Amino acid sequence: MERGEYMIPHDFSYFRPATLDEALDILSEDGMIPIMGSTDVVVKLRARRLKPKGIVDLKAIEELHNFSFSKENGMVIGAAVTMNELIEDHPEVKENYPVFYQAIKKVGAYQTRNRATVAGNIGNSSPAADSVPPLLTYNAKLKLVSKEGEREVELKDFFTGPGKNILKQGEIIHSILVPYEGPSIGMYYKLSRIKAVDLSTIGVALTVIDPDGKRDIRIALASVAPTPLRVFEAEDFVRGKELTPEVVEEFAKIVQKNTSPITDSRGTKEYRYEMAYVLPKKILRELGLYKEVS
Amino acid sequence: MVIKFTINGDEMEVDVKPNETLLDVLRNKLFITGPKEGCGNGECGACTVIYNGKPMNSCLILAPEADGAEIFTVEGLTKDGKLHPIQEAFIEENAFQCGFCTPGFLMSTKALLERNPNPSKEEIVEALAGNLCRCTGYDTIIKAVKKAAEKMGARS
Repeated sequence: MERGEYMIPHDFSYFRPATLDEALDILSEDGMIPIMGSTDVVVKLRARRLKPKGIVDLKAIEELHNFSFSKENGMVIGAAVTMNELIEDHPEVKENYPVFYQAIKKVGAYQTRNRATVAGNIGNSSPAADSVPPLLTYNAKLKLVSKEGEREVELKDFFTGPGKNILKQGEIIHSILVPYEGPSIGMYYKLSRIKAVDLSTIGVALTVIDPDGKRDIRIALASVAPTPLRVFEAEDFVRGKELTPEVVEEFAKIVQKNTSPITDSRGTKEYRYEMAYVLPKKILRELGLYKEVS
Repeated sequence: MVIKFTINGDEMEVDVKPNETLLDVLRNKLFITGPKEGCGNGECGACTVIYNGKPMNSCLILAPEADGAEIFTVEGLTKDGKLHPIQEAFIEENAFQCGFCTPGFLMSTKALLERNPNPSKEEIVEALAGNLCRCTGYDTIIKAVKKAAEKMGARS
């Protein structure tokens, strides 16, 4: 690239609609791509992996900035709410969805989180998306809207492959709906080559809903399959059982056998497969839920 | 398209194209060359500017998105020929060698000390994790941030 040339090599139009209706009209045309924080989209534009006719910036749409939480209705995160807003401005997130809070703190760096949104992380549909595994464990849903109307889908049914999802042409994520099922504890464990500004080699979200009561253990992983992965089989196995070393061993093995990792620049499939067994045990141990017999 | 924003307090109007980034515009059109292009992918932090009060990577912002924004760069730190306490602290602690990453570090530091005037080492590390330095190492930078916090506390 010579001095003074543009970092993004091709032309496109830019739209900044002020209302949702206007945005959905523009997005219904061919070749339009919606943006929020643009942290993933600009990288793809530069790499020539996206060649849109137009970019539709949704940040001016007031209703997409909404955030609300109540124990009756759960948490609603508008598509334009940034990760740092969730971390710094809404203490309800840390208090009621601690595993989700831990995961979004591990996305990119402080600068990235000032722009990046959870809706964007979901829409980008990377198998490595850190915000997704904890949301899967909290049974999150998405409200999708298009010119044709709106629909609600389970987050677990949203992804169809790396970078692929069920969004139709002209359809966007309007908000993320996360039910409140009671107090929870847990951990998001991210392994990456460097601590910040790196994608997950593997990410494991383990959430325990109502730890002092029904103790419902849920587990979901990033970067071990073509899509973020919740392992219901392991959850079913462990439900109602005492967490003996044998039970935990079997739980971890079930998690592991449900993964189908690949080798890429961030790690080998063998390493990821091994960690898919090691980390669930490690998290349960660090949460103090079981002790290994010495 | 013509966009308006303020840079270091000055209102500006500039003609931009949608496929320019804010960093392109700052460097190539306005000759504000404090923000640097290191990786161009939001990984190194050399292009960090304070954007509506928050540090962000200017390489990941499309120029038209910046319409109406308040932008602050390293050029705005020095007042009447006098260095900002953060700059003094970086010099006193030898917190840079080649200096390519320094404007980004100064911006992240300024934003950190504005939201947290007395940060712990862990808080400094977390706030600066998006700024990479390839020659100085981070110890002197962390010391400089601590020293800057002391200087700024003493002056306010």
